[in-house]
Amino acid sequence: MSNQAKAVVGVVVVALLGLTFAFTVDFDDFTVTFGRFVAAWLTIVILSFLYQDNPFYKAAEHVMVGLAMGYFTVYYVDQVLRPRFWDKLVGGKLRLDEELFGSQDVFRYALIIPAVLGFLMLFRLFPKLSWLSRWPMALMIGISSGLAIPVSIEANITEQVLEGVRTPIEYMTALRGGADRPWWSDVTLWQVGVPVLIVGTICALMYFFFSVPHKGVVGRAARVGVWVLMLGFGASFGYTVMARLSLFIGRVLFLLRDWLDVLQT
Amino acid sequence: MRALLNRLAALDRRFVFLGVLVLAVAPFFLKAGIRVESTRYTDLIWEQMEGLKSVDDPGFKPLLLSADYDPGTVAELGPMAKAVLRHVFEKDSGVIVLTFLPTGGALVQDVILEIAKEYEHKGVREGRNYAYLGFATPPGVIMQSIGREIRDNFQVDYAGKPIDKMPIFKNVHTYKDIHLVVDLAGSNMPGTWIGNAVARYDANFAMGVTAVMAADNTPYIPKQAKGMISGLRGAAEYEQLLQDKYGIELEDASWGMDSLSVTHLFILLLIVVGNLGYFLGREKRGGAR
Repeated sequence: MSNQAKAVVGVVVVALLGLTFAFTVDFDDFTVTFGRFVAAWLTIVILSFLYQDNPFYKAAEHVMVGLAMGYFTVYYVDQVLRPRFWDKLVGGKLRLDEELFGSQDVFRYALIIPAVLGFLMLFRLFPKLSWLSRWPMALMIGISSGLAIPVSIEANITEQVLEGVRTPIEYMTALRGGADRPWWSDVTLWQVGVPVLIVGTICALMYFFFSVPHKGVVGRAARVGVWVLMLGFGASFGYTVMARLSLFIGRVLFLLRDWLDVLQT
Repeated sequence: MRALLNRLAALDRRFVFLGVLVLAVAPFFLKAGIRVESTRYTDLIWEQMEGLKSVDDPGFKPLLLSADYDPGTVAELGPMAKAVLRHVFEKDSGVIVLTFLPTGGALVQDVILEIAKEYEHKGVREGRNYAYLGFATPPGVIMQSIGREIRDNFQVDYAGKPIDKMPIFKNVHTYKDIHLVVDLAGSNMPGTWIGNAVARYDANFAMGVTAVMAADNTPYIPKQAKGMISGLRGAAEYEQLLQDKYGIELEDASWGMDSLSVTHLFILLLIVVGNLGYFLGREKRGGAR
C-alpha cells in the first residue's frame, strides 16, 4: 500500500472514530457507553484481519492478551491468594476445623510450604536456576494425576464401555421422545438405531486394532469403522461451523443493537 | 459450468467473508422469525429443570449452576445462563452459582443480577432464591469437596456473606441435597464434573455446552448427563420452551437463529460448490487421487 493510500485510510478511520464517538457515547452514562465504544472498535479491528493482517489488528490482539493476563492475575490474587493464604497466615482467619497436629498455629505456618513451592515456580525465568521449578511442577503433576486418573478412567472408560454394552436400547429409548413420539420411532429404534450403534462401535474399534492385518472381514469392518469415524468428525465439523458463526452473530448483535442501537428487537 | 466453477475456485476468499457478513446482518432487519423446535437433548434437561420445587416447598432442593464461560464463549453460553436462571425464578425455586473461570466471574455476576432484577417483583431475592459463590479453584478438588460437604470450601459467598445465614443453604450439604448440577462450559469442564461429581458421588448432572464441544459430550447422555443444551441453537430451543410454557419473550439466542440458518445454508452451498469443483477438476486431471 502506498503512503498516500495509508494516509487516506488513516483519515477515514479517524473520521469514523470521531463520528461513532459523537453518536454513540453519552456523557450522562459515560462509563457504559464509552466501554461499548471501545469494545465495538476492538471488535471491528479484530475482524479487519479477515481483509488482511494490519497493525491495528496486532495492537488489538496485544491489548486482548495483556488485558486478559492482567485480569487473570488480579482475580487470582484477590479471590485465591488473599482469602486462602494471606488472610489465614497473616490475618489468622482460620476455620475451627483448620488445624494440623491439633494446633491452628501449626496449620497457619504450614501454609508457608505451598507458598514457597509456588515461589519456586518463578525460577523458570532464570535458566541457571530453572531446575528449582521442577520440584513444585512434579508435585503438582503428581497430585493432579492422582486426582484425575481414577475418576477419568471411571467416567470415560469404565462407564462408557458398560453403557455401550448394557444400554444402547436405553440410550435410544431416551432419545426417541416421550408419549407423543411418532409411530416410526419404534421401527428406527429396533431396526436401525440399536444395530447402527452396536455395529458402528465395533467397527470403529476394529480400525484401531492393529494386532491382525486389516484384510478380509477385519479389513472390511475397519473400512466401515473409518466411515463411522468420518461421520463423527463430520458432526464435530458441523458443530464447529455453528459455534464460530454463533460467535460472529453474537458480535453482530452487539454492534447493531448494543452499540449502534439500530435494531428493534 | 466448468468455467463458472473455475471462476468460483479462483474467487478471493474475502468475498466469502463478505457474503457471510451480509447474510448474518440481513436477517436481523428482515425478521423472518423461524420457529425453533426443541430437540430431545434439550427436552431431557428441560424435564429435569421442571422438577425444581419452590423454595417454600418442604422438598425443595436448589440447582447448582456452574457457569464456566468467559468473553470468548458468552455469545453461546450467556443466553443459556439467562434462560436457565429465568426458568429457576419462574418456578420460585433456588440456584447456587459458581464459576471455575476467573475471566468469567464478572460476566456471571452481571447475568445473575440482571435476571434477579427482572423477578424482584415476584419476591426473588439473594439468599432465598439465589447465591453466588464466585470463582473457585481447582475444579476437581472443589467438585469432590462438595460431595463431602459444600462448607468445606465455601463458608461465605463472593461478597463475604456467610452462607449459613442464607435460607437457600439451609439443608444443602452434599450432591444429595442438590436437585441438579448444570454446567455451562465451552471447555472439557463437563467431563471433569462427570468424573468428580457423577462417577464418584452420583450427582444428578446436565450441561449446556458450546457447539464445538457438543459432539465430544454426546456420549455422556443419557446416563451420566441428564440432558444437554448445545450451542446457540440449543439456547434458542430452551428460550422457545420458556415462551411456550411461561410466556417469556424470546431473547438473544432466538434472535440469532435466522442469521444462523441463512449463514449455514451459505456454508453448505460453498461446500457443495467446492466439492463439485474438486471432483470436476480431478476428472480433468485424469482421475488422479
